[in-house]
Amino acid sequence: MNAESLPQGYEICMHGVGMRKAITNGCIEATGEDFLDLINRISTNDVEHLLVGSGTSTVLTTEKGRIIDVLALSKTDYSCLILTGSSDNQIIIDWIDKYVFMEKVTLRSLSDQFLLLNLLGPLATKIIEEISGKNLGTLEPFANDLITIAEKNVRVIRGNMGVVQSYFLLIPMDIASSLSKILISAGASWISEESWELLRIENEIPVFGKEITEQYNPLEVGLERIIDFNKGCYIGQEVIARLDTYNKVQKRLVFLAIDDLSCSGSERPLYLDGKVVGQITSAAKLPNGLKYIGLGFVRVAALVGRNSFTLTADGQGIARVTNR
Amino acid sequence: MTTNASHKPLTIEVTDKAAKTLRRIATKEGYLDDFALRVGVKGGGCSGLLYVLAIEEDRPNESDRVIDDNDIKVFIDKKSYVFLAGTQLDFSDGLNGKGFVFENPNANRSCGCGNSFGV
Repeated sequence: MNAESLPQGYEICMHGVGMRKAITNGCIEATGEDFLDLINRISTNDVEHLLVGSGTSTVLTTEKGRIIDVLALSKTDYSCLILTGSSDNQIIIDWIDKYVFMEKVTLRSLSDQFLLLNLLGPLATKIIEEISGKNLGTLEPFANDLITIAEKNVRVIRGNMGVVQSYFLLIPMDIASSLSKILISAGASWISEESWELLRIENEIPVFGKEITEQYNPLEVGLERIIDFNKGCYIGQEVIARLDTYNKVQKRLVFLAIDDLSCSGSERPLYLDGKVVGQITSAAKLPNGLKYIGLGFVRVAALVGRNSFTLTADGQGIARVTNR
Repeated sequence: MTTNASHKPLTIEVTDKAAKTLRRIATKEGYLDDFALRVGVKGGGCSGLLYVLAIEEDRPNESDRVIDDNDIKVFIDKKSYVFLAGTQLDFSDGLNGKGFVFENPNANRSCGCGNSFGV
């Protein structure tokens, strides 16, 4: 596999179809009639009545309202597929299993038997439709359909990568190689994780291990759209409702434009008047190689009337919070 | 060597008031004496675990633990028992009455409404 590195990989995703093994995600199959009821009781979104073919996402939180993971749920006619943010399925299986008592729920990791392939770019729909002969219509994020490629059934799940078209293909491992070749023949190209990281940051998608960690709560990460404030209790609900009602969210995830060529990697503090007011959690160099973009958390109090922070206490390097 | 005479296996205790109320509800639901109380735990609520309480027919599941207290037969699945052993089930009907109340010695936190607990 020859992956196109940045900036080629980025350009491919802007104009064609980039392809990557979604090694940062895990995939779990949940069966049993009680699964949606259970996950509805232990996560933030209202997922109880998810229809076959449709999908949504929800946040697993601790009783203190901190994030365990953000899960994408996609309902098929016999199961519910779970795309985890963590590549370690077992953590999520163990967490959910902890709350299975009398319920009929079985969880099985699919990561050993299936390759999760992520297609990205404006021609992604076209390529999938061409090689499967099936019209995908307008799949909403995390909705799924069953397609056939080279006489093999493949589950396709719509991704959610901001303005970039994104699909996940759940491919049985024994045909992963041949199917990848078919996709390449149809016009897809492998892209590097570096290219994907840039796309992700540009589209302000938080990721497990950086922005999605137990260090933060869903409101700090800006996940309000997948919190149902009216559905009643779930683990962590009391804390999250209180933070929202009394406007007590202390920091916010922001998009940053960074004017410093030395800004490699993340976990750099952000300063205001010499004091630490935040932290960069993700950073990527733009294809022109001149600037970085990033994601980071900044204290809400420091964001009042200010949008420019420095990378050192003595005022070196500028990171600007940008509303996009 | 001394022994603790009060030591006994952890069980589920049903208070007089709770037993009386359960019998009344069971009769209202059409049971004679052939009912049992299902107690258990399920995931959810603000603190992680919710109490389950139901009246059902006197037919325990194979894996249930069966406890008899105050002439009330209590069924509890093994996993729930781990979280409920030693619990007293009471019924509160005063001005601030809450209905059935679990006094669970295993719970180290509970949410504001009292329906959910954590261990």
